[in-house]
Amino acid sequence: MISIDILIALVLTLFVFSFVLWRTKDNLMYRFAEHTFVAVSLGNMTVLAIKYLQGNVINPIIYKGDYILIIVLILGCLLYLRFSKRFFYICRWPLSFMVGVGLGLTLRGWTHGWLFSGIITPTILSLAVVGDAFTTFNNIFVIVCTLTVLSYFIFSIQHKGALRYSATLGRYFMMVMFGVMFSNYTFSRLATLSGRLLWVVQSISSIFA
Amino acid sequence: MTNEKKVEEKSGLSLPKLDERVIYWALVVLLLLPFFVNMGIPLPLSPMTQEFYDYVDRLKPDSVILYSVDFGPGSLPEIEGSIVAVSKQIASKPIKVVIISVWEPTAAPVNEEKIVSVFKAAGKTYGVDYVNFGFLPGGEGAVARLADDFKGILKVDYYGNSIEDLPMMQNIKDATSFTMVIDGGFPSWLYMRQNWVPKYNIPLISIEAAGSAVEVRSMYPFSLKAILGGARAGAEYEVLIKSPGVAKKGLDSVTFGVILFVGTIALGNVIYVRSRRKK
Repeated sequence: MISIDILIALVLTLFVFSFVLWRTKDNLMYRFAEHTFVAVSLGNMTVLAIKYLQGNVINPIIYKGDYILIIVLILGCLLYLRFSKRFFYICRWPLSFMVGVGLGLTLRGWTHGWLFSGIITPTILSLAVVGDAFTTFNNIFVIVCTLTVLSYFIFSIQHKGALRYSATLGRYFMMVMFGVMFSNYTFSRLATLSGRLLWVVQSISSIFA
Repeated sequence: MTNEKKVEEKSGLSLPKLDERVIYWALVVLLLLPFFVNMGIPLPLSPMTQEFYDYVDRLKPDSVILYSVDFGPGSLPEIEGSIVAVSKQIASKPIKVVIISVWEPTAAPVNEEKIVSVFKAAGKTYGVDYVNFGFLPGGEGAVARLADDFKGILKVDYYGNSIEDLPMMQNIKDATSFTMVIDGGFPSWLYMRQNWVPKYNIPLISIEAAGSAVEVRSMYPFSLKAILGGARAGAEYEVLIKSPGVAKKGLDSVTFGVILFVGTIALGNVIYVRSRRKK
């Protein structure tokens, strides 16, 4: 016996597939599934946000006397003044707070996360590894790739002479990277499609079983 | 004007017409075939998958890990093999697990279905061996705060139980209470890496979809100690933990899909070149 939730999921999946397999264009069934997905996602997010707010902000204020959280709650509510023509400017206060916190976190995180452990640390490599020609070549290649790609993004100086060649080489390296990324995303999407197709077949066979 | 018409206009050629639905149906057939017919395509084990396995395997008894997984239903088919296989390995060890998602709101029910069910089947006790916090909103700010004061930001679990009532959470204070972070999903590893790794020096290993695995590759082995990338890694992991699932067949399926893509691109180009020569 197939459950109602699987049946709904099956019908909506087939509706989505109707876009490519039936008429290869937008149709009523596809639009229905698309709009349902957007609405359900939004509803799910709203419920989760309310649940989080209740469990981690409102309940601690009421039952545990954690009154400092009232400030957070007020700041959150002030965001909704964006819809008031008279007091809309007040919504900038919590917004500026959020931007400030976000910027601070990003500066700290990205400096260490991307600049140091993402670019500088991986390129501190030995240019000659004795007895290991492949590693030597690989290390030199990594350094050349990093420097040439970075040189492409130097926009303060006109790309002339050595910088022109370096930037062009960097652009080619980036193209290779984009190609690799594209093929991986294709692989990723195929895996998703394959899994969903298997699920559809299993669900249909369970109806007739 | 469609791309096809643009090419025809530019080259002055009339390309043979093909209903694209033929390719779609061929793709459907090829993707489904390996699930019903054993293809026997060999699967060599990659060093990165072995490394990921070893990291989890080396965890000492009573270690506490943060298992932050952010895959929604959309990305689940690709990553399900990896998530289930890693969860099975974790469940087979006497370690404590804190499950959470910090980026994808729809990940909470997915984690419930794919991770919690594995722990339940392994006989793990909720609150003692594992805790599920569901989705934590707030993005990077919330993750940073989580590292500094875990209980300050999470008061209740996914089911509404107070954090004080969960025995396992009594000794959890901040990031230093954790032995390792296992992260799944693209932006969430970024939050973990930027806020848990530099300040607290917690080892971070990551489960990624094939697409994002390329982007995080440069972080290995610096801030990311191991990466489990895409459906292939999931299939390899199933072999490693000796628990075959759908991931291996899924990988064969994708291989067939890729062959079709390469074949159609090659065929299209051959037809184009031949038409040009005729002209």
